[in-house]
Amino acid sequence: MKRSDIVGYILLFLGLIALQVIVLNNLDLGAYIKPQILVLFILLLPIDINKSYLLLLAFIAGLTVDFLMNTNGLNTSGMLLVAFIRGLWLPKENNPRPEFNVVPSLKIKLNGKWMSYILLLTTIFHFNYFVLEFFNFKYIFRIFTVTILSTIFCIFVQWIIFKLFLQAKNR
Amino acid sequence: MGRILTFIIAYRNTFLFIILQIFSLTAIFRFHFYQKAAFFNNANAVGASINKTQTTWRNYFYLQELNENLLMQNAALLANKQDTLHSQDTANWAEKINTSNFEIIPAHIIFNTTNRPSNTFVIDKGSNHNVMVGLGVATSGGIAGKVINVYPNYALCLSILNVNTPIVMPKILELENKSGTIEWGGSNPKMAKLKGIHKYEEIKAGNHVVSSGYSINFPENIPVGTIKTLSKPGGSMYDIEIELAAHLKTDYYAYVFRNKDKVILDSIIELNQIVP
Repeated sequence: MKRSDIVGYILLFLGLIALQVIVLNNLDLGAYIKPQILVLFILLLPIDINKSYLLLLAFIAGLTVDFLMNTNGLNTSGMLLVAFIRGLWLPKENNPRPEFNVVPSLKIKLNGKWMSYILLLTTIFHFNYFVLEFFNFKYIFRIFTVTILSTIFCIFVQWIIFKLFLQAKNR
Repeated sequence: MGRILTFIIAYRNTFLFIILQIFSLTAIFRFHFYQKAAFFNNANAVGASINKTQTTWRNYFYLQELNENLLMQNAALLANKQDTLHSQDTANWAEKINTSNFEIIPAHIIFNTTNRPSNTFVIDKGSNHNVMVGLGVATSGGIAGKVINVYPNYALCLSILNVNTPIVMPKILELENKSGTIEWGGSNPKMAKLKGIHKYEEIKAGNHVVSSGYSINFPENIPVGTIKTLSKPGGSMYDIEIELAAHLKTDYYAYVFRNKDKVILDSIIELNQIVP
């Protein structure tokens, strides 16, 4: 990982926290749309990162946003889960080609696998978040509704971020 | 021994994941079942100062509404002092309550949520100002929540907008000694349900729901809300929707009630194993 990448990831982390705390929490979209954008940070951490570091980074990132939002560990739990299972979507070979595989970095070439990677892991994160937040079987339909609506909104925000900052230039 | 070590090293990431996950789940369930916010909250000095800055900015956009609320409260306080008990306006609860046994600590709400199943807010008064765990908090509208965690200068409160824990035992002002329970539905921050009122009681829409005198953390007669709709379903109880008196989305000023005998009362309850 290059030094400029580290700076980029720190900026990404701070930017996402600012977006979550200052913008998304104050948007007042009601009780059914509650997007949690910080999961994008874990999804974009580089492919060759040590898995222990990945888990620790997820933990620290989750703690930070939980601390700012009074969510008592809901984000931490989801971030850890996503960090733990994101390897299932990543290519196993040594030199994966970014055109056809999921190669997380700060410059993305979007393809079908990327879409499913982002969509599924964002959904899993939100589902985990709302199951733990409600934690009662009588809210099961509400959990599904909130998960779906929040994921759609979150994907929309992620797409804007992608268009603004993360799109790889075509050579 | 060597084998165990090899095993642990081979699966070190799984173990790390499990340990960290247990840590976060502990925090979540401590909050769910014991109303204790462990380590993930911003009521301590660092987080609260961040929130304070943010709330100062945010309030700038609500200035008009805040001013209007204050104006209403002032007007109600200045208005004629008879006939306040059955007044239509809930903004003047300060007039009708018996506060002789309570110390009232004014505070500001500096962090607030209304769209979660269990909402919390942070006030800028803490143990340095005699705030203790369990004390009741009201805004200028009505009952807002109770303190669940105290720091030297800030306190974390559980809002009345939560689906797990009843904050206050309410009664209907127009009836003598009829208490029920408040249940919040989890989505609309303005409405809640009043349960446990029998069908033979004579109540109607517009009646006031206030705190009963059974709690040591709230004085009697602080507004909780007004009855908006009521219907008679199959069972023996009314189905009552109330409109909450506190506007937790925009309220900024809060009052903490500290019962002067709270320490003694708590020790009596604990000594005799009474479940409050």
